[in-house]
Amino acid sequence: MSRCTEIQELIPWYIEGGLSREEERAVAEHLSGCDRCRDDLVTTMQLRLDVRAVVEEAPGPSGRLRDRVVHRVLGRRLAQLDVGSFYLGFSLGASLRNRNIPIRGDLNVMGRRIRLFNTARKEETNERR
Amino acid sequence: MASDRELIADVANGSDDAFRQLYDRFSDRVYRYAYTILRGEHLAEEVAQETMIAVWKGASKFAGRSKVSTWIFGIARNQAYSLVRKEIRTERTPNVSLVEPDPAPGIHRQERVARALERLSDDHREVVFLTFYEGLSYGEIASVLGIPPGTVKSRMFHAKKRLAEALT
Repeated sequence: MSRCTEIQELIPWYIEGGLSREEERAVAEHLSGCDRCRDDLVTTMQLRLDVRAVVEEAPGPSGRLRDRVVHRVLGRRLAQLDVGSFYLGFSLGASLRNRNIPIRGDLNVMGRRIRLFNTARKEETNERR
Repeated sequence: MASDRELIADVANGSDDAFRQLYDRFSDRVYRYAYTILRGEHLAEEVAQETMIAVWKGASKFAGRSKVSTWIFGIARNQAYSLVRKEIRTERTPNVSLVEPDPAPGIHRQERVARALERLSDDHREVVFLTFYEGLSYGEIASVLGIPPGTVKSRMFHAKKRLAEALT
């Protein structure tokens, strides 16, 4: 394999910043003295922009997908009770999940939710195993 | 903002909020990756759905040896290829090898790039996506695809060459 081929193989990740320090240095050194590989660098940078534009242009998943996944994973929320404030509060929630109605309680401290109990945890842990 | 690793740890502890955040962070990326492999919207949605459910179920098994994104893309890839196998068995074959005719000269560049991507092999298209869109290193891609790093570099080299040729 020629040195140019070796360098051109690394160029996509040279652009992305995904090379080790030694590889990056080797590519930079080679580029400073090789017109052909500098052309490849420019071509690759343009290709990267083109590919990203095409991928981003394609429509993403439908909004229904989120509902479907959340419903299957977390169940349908039946009731939710929140008391307290952002700084200190308590939440009690019940949902319908796989024909069960797990109930969970959370302590909210400064916006951070700490799970106190969840009646579904045991079944879910078994299911995950 | 919680890191991906923190979210996975919270998901493993059964946090609904963490799962919702993780879903919002990854579902679109997983969908686009699946679409790159399968070229079908419904199939890509199915992969995204099953991947996110597998993430919920398997969060406690995430060993932390790789980046969360690498782990999730690995799951998505397995889901995509098991769906391909299932579709082939039921003869509802996805457009995996769809090859479009050559675009007419003078067509908009983005359209030409899209067609050039379509004409790449699945293996090449996948590596291009993971490199240019996801920004994964060749080592990370090797771990998602289960192939040697040298093969990733060589696939990317040839894919790049084909794309550049198609666009000149």
